[in-house]
Amino acid sequence: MKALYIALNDIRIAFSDRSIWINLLVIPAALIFVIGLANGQSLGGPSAAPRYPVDVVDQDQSPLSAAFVNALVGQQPSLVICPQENDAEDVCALGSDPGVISAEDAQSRLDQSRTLAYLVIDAGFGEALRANQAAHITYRSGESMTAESIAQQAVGTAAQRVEGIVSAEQLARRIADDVLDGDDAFVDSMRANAAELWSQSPVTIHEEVAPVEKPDFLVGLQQSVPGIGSMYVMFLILAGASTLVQERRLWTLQRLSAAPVTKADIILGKLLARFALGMIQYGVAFAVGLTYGRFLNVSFGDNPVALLIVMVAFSLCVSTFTLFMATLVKTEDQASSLVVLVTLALAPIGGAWWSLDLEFIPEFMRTLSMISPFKWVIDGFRNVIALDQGIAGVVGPSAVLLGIGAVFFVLAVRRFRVIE
Amino acid sequence: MESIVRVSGLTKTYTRQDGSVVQAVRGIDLDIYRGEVFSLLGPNGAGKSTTISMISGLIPPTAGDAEIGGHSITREPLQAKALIGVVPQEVALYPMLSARRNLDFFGRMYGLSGAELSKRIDEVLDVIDLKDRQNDKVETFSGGMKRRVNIGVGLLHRPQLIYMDEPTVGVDPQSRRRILDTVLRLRGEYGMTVLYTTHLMEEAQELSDRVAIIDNGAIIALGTLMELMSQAGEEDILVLTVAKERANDSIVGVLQAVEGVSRAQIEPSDTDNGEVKYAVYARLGRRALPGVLTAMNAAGVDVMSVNVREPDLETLFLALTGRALRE
Ligand SMILES: Nc1ncnc2c1ncn2[C@@H]1O[C@H](COP(=O)(O)OP(=O)(O)OP(=O)(O)O)[C@@H](O)[C@H]1O
Ligand SMILES: [Mg+2]
Repeated sequence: MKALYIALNDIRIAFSDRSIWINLLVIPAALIFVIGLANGQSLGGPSAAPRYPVDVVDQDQSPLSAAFVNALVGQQPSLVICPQENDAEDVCALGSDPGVISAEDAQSRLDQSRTLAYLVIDAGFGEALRANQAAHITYRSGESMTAESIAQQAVGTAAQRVEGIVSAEQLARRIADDVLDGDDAFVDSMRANAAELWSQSPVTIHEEVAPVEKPDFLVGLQQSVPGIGSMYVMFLILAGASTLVQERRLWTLQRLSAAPVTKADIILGKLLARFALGMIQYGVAFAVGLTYGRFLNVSFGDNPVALLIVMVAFSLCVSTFTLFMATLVKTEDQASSLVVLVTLALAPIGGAWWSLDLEFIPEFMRTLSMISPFKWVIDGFRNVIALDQGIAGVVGPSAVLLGIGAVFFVLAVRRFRVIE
Repeated sequence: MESIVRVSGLTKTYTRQDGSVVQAVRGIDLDIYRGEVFSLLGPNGAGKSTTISMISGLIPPTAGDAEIGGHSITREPLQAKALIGVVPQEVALYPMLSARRNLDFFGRMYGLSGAELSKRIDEVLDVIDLKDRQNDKVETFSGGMKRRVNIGVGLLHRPQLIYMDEPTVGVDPQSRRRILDTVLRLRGEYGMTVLYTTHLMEEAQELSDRVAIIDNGAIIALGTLMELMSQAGEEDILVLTVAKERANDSIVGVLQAVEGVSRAQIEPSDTDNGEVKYAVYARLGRRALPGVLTAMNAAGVDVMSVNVREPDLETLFLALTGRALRE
């Protein structure tokens, strides 16, 4: 009970200074927004899904090459077949001249990274297919991104469809030759039918190659709310080290221990106060995040309980570290400098500023990150928000955080003195 | 007499970072009786605060122990602490909280709550005379007001015993008077036992039933004021001032002939202000005074003024250590 009063008193003291709101709300709110943008938060809402232009150069100009192009068009929402699918937004960047694209143009556009890939359907493509010979399509792409494989699969699918059409056409030709005395009209209508059927049927293929709408790492606000939020949680909790040193200077800590209060009550009360302040900071950060999210259509997963678990684990971990830190420092200034140093070093290392799941993050950074509690809390957030793992996703990271917390708890209790 | 505090062999040895050893308290023994004001009088660094810290359970003694109301402060700290009100030398308050909040928080630490706590707070605010400022932050208070709140916190749980470590340090004379009056009231009206530390002789002399003089971590004298005074010196000194033109060589003889006077001499003086001072030593100075004045009158010498100098703790400290209490 006395521990509870000690904690309440500390929280009251923290809030007795109105300027706490600057660090609790104002700066985190601004940083969450800015760092969110830096992490790829788009301001246009969900419609701004990326679209990649792919140039098609049809040097064959046969019904089969046309069928091939048709099979590509409209197949993938994230691909824009140029020039056929170019629209008002001019995704193909063809400007006022939406004519035919030459092979040279396509190559130079790819070189300038204005397109994701291009295709050249060689002359004789239709003839070769009909003659059951190898038919050539040249496919070139820049080296990047998941979108590329989408384009590759789209091309594969289109090729499959054209093969189907050719099979149907050849079957029709045989029937026409054997039974219908070479009725060309029959062959043409069979080809048309086959093309239509193929364009409707492979709904399953479309699913298979559909681009992943949700990335498997934290993007935008989903990264900056837990990241910057956790960083400010650490700032606020660690500030308790300075408070403890101050209480020793003011002699309030000594007075407290001259009262009939156990050392356990004092330690528990101080821990509880820092923990509660940390959770208040998380509350503020997520309130800010949800407010932004409402306008920018961002959600933070559908398992608030799982998020709460990992937040509790992180706050406890940092709280016990704070108590330990308070046994190392002699002055309030030392404590304050150490708070800034520790937090600003551990936050980026642990992925509080940007996701360590990004492809360009070198492997040693990922290894190094394990020493930072931020890595574990951000992993927990990612597992819930990006990977929908729910409570199962936070068990591991929370266990690590609580383990680190337990070590510092033991060290702190052993070193803690009311009078240094 | 019943002891409420029994201190035996209390010792504190500090080892500094550089390895040097400070013997802050060297084996103190003392008893404090129920209902008395007991003063620890000693110069800066004598070990007063260290002693109080040990007998309030703040720091563990290197050796020895103290019993508070029969409870050992080292073995049963919670029971012992519950009996003591502590007023530290520092103003141990949360500056960013109001006086009332401070009282409320520390009251809870002594197990008070609810209506009882709120009643006690009102009482204490009365005693320290800060009712009208109770909701102001302590950081806006004057030094004297802070000191009073500091005392108030020690009174909340109505302890039978209160420790006050130099409670008048750094306050103006008016606030000091108020604090001294409060101490006297605590004993007089509430029957509390007070352990009071100070480096000011006047305070110890005015407040105390008994005084222990502490120097360099050890008690060098202990007793009632009367006992210590008699230790300080047997004789009072009457200082007679006479106009220079009236002074003559026979006066010393005249004075020494008065009953009760052991000797007399001219006080050495380095300023010539037209006066001569005669020091007259007598065991009971005030009783010898009428005879002295009659003899002077008979000798035809007008006495301009008389000053009775009685021995005090200052003289005792000087006699015991060869140093002044205040340096
Ligand atoms: N933590 C400590 N480490 C080393 N020496 C200490 C420590 N605390 C006190 N001392 C030393 O112990 C001696 C007694 O100090 P203490 O504070 O008890 O004196 P005091 O009588 O209360 O003096 P004051 O009137 O200045 O308050 C001093 O020499 C002081 O320097
Ligand atoms: Mg002191």
